[in-house]
Amino acid sequence: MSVKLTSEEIRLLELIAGSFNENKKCTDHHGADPSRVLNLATCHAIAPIIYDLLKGEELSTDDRAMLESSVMETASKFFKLLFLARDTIRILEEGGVSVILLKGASVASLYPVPEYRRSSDVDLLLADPADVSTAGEILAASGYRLMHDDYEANHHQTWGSPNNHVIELHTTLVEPFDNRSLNSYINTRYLLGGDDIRRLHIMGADLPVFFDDRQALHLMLHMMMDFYRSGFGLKLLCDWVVFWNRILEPKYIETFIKDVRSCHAMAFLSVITSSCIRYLGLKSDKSCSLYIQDDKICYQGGSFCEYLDENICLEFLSDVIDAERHGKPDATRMVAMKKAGLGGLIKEYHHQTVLSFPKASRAIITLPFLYLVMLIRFLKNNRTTRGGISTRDIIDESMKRSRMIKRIEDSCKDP
Amino acid sequence: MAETKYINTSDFILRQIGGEAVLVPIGDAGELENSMISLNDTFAFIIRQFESPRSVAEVISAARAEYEDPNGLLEKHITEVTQELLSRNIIKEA
Repeated sequence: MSVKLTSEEIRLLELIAGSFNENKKCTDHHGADPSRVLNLATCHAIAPIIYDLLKGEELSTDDRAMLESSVMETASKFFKLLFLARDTIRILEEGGVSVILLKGASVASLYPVPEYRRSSDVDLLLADPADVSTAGEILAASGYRLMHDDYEANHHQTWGSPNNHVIELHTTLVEPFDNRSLNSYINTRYLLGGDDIRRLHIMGADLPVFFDDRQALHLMLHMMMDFYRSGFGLKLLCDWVVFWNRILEPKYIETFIKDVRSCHAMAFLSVITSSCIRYLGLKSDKSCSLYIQDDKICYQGGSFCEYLDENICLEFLSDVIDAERHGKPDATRMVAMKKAGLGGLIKEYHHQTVLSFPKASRAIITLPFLYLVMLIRFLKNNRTTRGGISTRDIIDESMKRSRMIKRIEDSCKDP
Repeated sequence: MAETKYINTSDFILRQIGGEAVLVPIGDAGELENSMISLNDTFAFIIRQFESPRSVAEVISAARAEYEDPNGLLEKHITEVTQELLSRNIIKEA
């Protein structure tokens, strides 16, 4: 299958690549409309990240003002969330609860200008999931309020800070996949001790974060989780580029690769890394962490993953661009099934039912009733919250994306 | 007697955002906490001077090398800005 990107999409990818890799030239405009490029970058929340190159485009006065304002707003939010993370972590640690900052400032610190990475909330992972009620008590006593308790289904609680910013308190690294052994591996592997946490000093804040092996796995699993749902946008791939565009210690890469193999996620690792190298400025020479040799992406310690061909990378990137084309996923993009056909559809339906009714679904006898409730809810939401979208379109879109996943897996000799 | 030298406090950081210099409170910044202060060129220049210990006279001398002073107001202006920075705890005695 051959995919053709629009001139604006190509231009945007080149501006991203040029922002992260000084060897990538981005002088050819491909006849792209600068205003549409800016709009696409804004939908993907990456306009500030490519600001230095984007400001050189022939933008109208209004577009330029919008870009400047987006940059200042992103920076302002970055600082608010940075200091909120710092203060919240301090409160929790003083109460004896150990947490890790997921993404946010820890990933932003890898960018040339950390303030340009857009964040919408603070994500904290409890080192010990059993601390969830103690953490809640501490936050409540400090003026935070519980906004949404999704602990049973998705293993996180949403809290509002006294100055109205959102904090998500997670008890697992990522939300559950439809694979028990994978969930169990991730949860067991990531039981955290004090030695598993390092401190990041950034702009006056002292934050507990992962070492690079766990940081890499978290970034990848987070993308994978979103990918099998409605998809994810270019921002997460930008995170992947800046994460690898530096020298990492081989021991961390080795542990990461072992984890990826245990998660059976080599095909996904291959497609994101190959796409980032081909189109987004991820550096691949022996002076960096990753390099290409004999159609493999390698690191100092050996093979990293496969280097997939242009067509599959373009098809994948087209899906990534579509995921946030309007600043939010299209209503038809709900899930991408890992297996095509009726079997995949039934498996996904069961997974969604378990996620929606985590307690009730534990009793097998209730499942037929829960399936029925899910179906009624699904049909009703299609008519109401999803604006009258056809169920057929949703299933077609899911099937289309699952066929793409199959092609990615097929193109990988070591999936 | 040696002239008093000043240096930036660690309660603020100076950043370049979107081509603009901004001052961000990172410590106990009182009324400025949770804000991002856009600076004009002069303020940014003076704050950069205080990244290492400098006296007001040294900053004035550096400013004369950088800017023209047709109205002879440079010295007065820098003295006033320094006082404001001191009062807001952005700089302190070194």
